[in-house]
Amino acid sequence: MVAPSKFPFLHLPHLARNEVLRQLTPFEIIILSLCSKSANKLCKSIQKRETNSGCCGNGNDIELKFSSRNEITLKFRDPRLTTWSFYFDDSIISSSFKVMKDLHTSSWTPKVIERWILYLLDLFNASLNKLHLNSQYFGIEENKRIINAFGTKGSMTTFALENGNVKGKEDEELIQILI
Amino acid sequence: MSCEEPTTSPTPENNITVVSSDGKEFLLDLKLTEQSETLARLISNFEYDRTDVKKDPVPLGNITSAQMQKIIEWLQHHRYYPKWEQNDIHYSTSFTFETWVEEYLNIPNNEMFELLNAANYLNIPRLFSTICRIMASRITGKSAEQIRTVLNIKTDVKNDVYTGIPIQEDSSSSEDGMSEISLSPSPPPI
Repeated sequence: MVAPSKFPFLHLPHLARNEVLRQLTPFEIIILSLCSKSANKLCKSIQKRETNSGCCGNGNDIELKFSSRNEITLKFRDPRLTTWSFYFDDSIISSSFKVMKDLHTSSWTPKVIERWILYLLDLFNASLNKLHLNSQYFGIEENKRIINAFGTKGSMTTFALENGNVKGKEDEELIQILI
Repeated sequence: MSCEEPTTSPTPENNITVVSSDGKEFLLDLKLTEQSETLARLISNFEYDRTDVKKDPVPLGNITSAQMQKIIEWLQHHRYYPKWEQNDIHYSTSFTFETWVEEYLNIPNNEMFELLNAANYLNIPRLFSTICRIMASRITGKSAEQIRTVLNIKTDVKNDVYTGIPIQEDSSSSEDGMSEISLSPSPPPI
C-alpha cells in the first residue's frame, strides 16, 4: 500500500507560503496558527511583515461585544474592509462554547475572553478599540468588572452601551464610570 | 505543437532550448516563454529574440524533465490568454477553477509541491497563483488535524484532553501565545 504523498507547506519558499496564506479567511488563519508552533510563527511573521497580505495586513481592529451572543468582531483593513465575527455559542456539551468548526473553548469567562483577545491581537496584529456593554444581560457589577478587565486593553477608544436605560439609575452610574 | 524535443533538424529562429536538471533538452517557442518572467528576462538580457544572435541552451538546474513537461503543458494551454494580473481581492470563502485546471492539477501532493517550486523559480505568476489557490481551497473548512495532514505539519504541541485544542508544552512556548486559548475546562473567573 502506497502512503499518500506529502505537501510540506512549511518548506515552501516564503513567497509561496505567503500567497497561500493570503487566500485564507481569518478562520482558517486561526486554525492554521493552532496547528504547530512553526505554523503559528509563520502566520504572525507574515502579518507583521506584509501590508498586502489578505486578512494578515496591519492596522486591523477588534471589537468585543458582551451580549447574549458573546461576540468578538474582527475588522480588517483589507481592500474589502471585511468584518468577521466570532460567536461563542453554547455547544451541546453544556460546559463548553463552540467558537468555530471543531474549536471549542471552556467557558465565556473574562479570563478566557482575555486569552482569546490577546491571541487574536497578536495573530492579526490588531488593536482592541471598541467595547460594547449591554444593560439587558449584565448588571452594574458585571459591567464594572468587564470595564476593569478590558477597558484598559490595547488602544480602546470607544465604549458602546447597548440597551441603555433599561435599568435607569444603574446605567447612569455605568456611564459616569465610562466618562 | 510549439514544443518538441530537439531533433536533428536546425533550431527554428523563434525557439530556444532549455535543459532540465536531468539533462533533457526542450525546444521552447519564444511566445511561450513570455509567461515566465525568469525566461523572458533571460531572453531579453541575452537578446535571444534577435535572429542574428546565437542561442545557447539554457540550463534550468532546479527543474526536472517531468516538471518541465508539465510546465510546457501549462504554457501551451495559456498561450493566448491575456497577461496575468494580480488580483487585489484576497481571501475567499469559496474557490472555483476551470475544468482544465482541475484536471491539470489533479496530481499527487508531492508533485504539486515540486510544481509550485518550479513555478516560483521560473516566475510563472498564473501557475504560481493557481496552485496557491488550490492549496488554500484544500485548507478551507478543515479542522486543525485535517490541515496538519494536508500540509504535512508535524504536531509539536499537545492537545488539551477536554477541548482538543493545542496547549503549551513548556514555558518556552508561552511567548508565541499557543493555546493560551481554552487552556483548561474551568478557568478561574476574575
